[in-house]
Amino acid sequence: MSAAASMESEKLILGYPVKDIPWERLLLISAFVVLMIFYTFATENFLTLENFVNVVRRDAWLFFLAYAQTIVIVSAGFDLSQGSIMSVVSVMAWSAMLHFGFFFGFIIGLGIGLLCGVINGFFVGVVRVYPFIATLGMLFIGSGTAQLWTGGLQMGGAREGATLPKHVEEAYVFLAKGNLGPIPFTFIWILIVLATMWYLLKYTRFGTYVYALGGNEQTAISAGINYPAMKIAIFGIGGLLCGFAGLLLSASVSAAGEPRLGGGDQLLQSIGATIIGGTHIFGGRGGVLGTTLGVFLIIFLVNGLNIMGIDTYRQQIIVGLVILASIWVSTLREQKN
Amino acid sequence: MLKIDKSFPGVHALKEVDFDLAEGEVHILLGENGAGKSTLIKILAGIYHADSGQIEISETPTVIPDARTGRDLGISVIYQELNLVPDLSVAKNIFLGREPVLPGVMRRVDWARVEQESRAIMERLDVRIDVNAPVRSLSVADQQMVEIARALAFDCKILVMDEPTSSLSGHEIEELFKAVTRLREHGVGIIYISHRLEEVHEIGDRVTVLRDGEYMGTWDVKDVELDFLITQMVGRTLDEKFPWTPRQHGEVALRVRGLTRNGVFEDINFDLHYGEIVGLSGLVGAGRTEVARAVMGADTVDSGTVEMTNATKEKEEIQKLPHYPLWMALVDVVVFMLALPLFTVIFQGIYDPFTLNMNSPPPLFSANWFYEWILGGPLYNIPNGPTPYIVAAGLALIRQVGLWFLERQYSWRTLVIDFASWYALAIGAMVITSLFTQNFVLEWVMIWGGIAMVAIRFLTILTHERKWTPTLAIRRGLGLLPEDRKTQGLTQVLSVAYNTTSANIRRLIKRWLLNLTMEKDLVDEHINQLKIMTPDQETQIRFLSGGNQQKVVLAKWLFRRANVLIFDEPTRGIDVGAKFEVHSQMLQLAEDGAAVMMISSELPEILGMSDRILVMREGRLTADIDRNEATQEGILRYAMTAD
Repeated sequence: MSAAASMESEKLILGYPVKDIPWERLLLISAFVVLMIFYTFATENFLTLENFVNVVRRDAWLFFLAYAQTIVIVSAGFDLSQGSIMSVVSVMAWSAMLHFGFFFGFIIGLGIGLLCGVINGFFVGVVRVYPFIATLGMLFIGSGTAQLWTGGLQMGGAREGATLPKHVEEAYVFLAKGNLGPIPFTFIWILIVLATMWYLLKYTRFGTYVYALGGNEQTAISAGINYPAMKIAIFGIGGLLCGFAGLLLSASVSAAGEPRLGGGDQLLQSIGATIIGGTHIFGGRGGVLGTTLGVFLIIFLVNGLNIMGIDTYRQQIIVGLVILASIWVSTLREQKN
Repeated sequence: MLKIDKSFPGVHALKEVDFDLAEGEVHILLGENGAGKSTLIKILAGIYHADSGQIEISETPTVIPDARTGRDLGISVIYQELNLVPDLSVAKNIFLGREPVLPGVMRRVDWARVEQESRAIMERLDVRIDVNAPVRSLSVADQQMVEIARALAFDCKILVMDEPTSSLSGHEIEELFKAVTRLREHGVGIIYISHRLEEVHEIGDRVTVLRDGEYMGTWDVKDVELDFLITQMVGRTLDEKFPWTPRQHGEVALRVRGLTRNGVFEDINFDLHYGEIVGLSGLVGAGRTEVARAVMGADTVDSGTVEMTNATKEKEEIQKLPHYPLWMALVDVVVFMLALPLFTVIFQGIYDPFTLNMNSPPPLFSANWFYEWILGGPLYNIPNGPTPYIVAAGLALIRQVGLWFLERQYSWRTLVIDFASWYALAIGAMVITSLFTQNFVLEWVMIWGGIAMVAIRFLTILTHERKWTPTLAIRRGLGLLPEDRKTQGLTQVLSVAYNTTSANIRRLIKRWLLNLTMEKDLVDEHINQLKIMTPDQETQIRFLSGGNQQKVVLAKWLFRRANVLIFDEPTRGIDVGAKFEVHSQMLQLAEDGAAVMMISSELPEILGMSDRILVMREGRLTADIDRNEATQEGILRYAMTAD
């Protein structure tokens, strides 16, 4: 019966059935294009390769945070502790680099991010605390730990006393600011992580289970999906990516251990990018490609406003309006269906 | 299954129950709610464990420790609540939990094979469902087919179906039965639970009855009469199934005229009298529930009126409002922004932006206070001159003309509201864009603009007819007992007392406080009157059975003194004994002078209970039949065939 019904409604646009066209995605892309055109005419230096490269390099951390948030939100979770994980990783990785050199420091930093994520996952999956509460706990624990670790001070950088050995610091900075030929390293990191996450979500069992958990948890569990393991894995991946984002941001800011690194609006921006990118806030729908678009929209929106000389407060109002508008569009679509 | 015994704290759920299932048979499991059917099924599926007794599959004793093992043994259960992931495609749902993985380190799932095998299963079931469509886009019946397909994909030997037809219409049930027959031919054993007794003969091979956890017996369907089965289930004969008696009808209580909601129902006209029970029949999906919701004011309609004649003779109309409540909110925000200078006028006398001294802090609640502290700086940047306002008006006007050409039924009042709103919206957009342009402001335009906007808003609101809302409908004495009583009629985690009094909490207020003693007495009165079986009135609703929950919904409206009641599927999912009581209550209500409308999919119930029967087909009322002239065939003809 439904097959017959769908036959009737099958109109084609450019050989593409109407109901299969991802309207939201198209809208997002066209919003981005309109924004680009607007800025190109409104400012002088916006549409230059240099600006593009600079923006993506400086805000690369947001991609990883947003990918982490995406996979967590798609599985009907929520991660409030992203900023704290960034802070903890920043200070602890710095200390580790001081003693063990760049490579091991880097690995330890990622490991700490992973650990924080796994702890989140443990509380959500095994203890069955609401993700909101579990990660709220991690938010406080993380930021407390980071401040305790350093006594609330910045490590390295401007502070007197211990500094990283020159070659370690150079390697650290290279992580965020280095180039591979003409291509900045951060681009490569973003591409690698994007491709991996996309493949993971689309072509593996794990990815399907992430969507299944987000869409209908009971069904997923009764289909034999290991709920605790899945939650630990999802939050673990989230934590790992947050750790990487923390390392990137520290490296690009000052190559120092900064206990308040993730205390700003990083978390809110990652949630904003995820939502703008079309991931459903209650899970089950969305993906990293949309999130990538969302991140691009946010960082270039802000960048353009900066070039136009709009102050931060107004920028925040505008970003807020964009997030509201994107949610409005998706709810309108849903109501229609 | 032999001598299965299971106890829960306080309940002996199953007492040495025997059950057997042959290959390729449909075995119907009957019993009142709480008779132990679900417990037996859950033990079979591995969700519960029996205290004693034994399960044998193909003559070998088997232990089923968890759901996964049960499934691996070929046992699939289709629960009443569908168990699918709405955003995944049909194929992905079918193979959820056991996707084939291609060899190699990439662990890539073989989606092509998943799709192909799903298609093969659909062909085996002979249903046409696009396996790539997301499940949320399918009808309930098709979703059920997907569940069956999933069971098949698991290579199931034993399929349990828990009330599969409760949300399907006649045609869909036929499709389902066809699928069941096909499964039976493939040698699958089917355990079929249903409250619809007429299905026993239609689909069953054998039937087993449980009563209060006790095994009553198993019979060949050919050898038993329905009455006999009912006796076995309830342990008594219901000699008079519907205790209907003729009644005097009073004057019109509810008058519905020309009610239309585009694409859902069209031109619905009927009267409902006091003391009358009107049955609303029709197939599922004919728009019965939607009509009930519209009469209640819960959904907006495109045209038509609902009139209730009690209390006052005042005419309440369902007025078509423009279809976007969100702009209302936006307009209010913008109007608020524009109206802020008004505060200045109120607090400081006349407001003069040109003599503003920016060295002293702006006065509290003045426009500049707002701009300074909320927006982050004085708003000097509204474009100069009248042009933008003319442009805004032009935009709004173009919209009006467009609207008028597209949908002529808009009244001029609607157009005025719409115009005002869009004008305000356009101005608001300019205010926001002007946050980052560098021109000088003409704030007095905003002051007078604000005053004008507020005035227009008030005028339009004042001249607007009152919208028919649930609040108003309830105030007039209308009560709806929704189909989905669990979520729409009751608050599951709150007490019986709370749920009873929640719709009329005012009745309990004495000197600004709730009189809890009075609440206790009144709730007790209702519990006794409706024979609600509950340990006490503080028990949470979710611990009550379906029938008792329905009675609490009824108690809620009686407490509200509602005298026009709409019952939407009042006895769905309720056991036979409670059904009878709900029916008696409805008749008693009518006897006491209430107007009752009953929506039901069960023809015997419609025929047995109604004084008058309305039939709907595809969103239209097709018949208005008197009790004496109504027959099952007649109703079905009106419900299913076009004249």
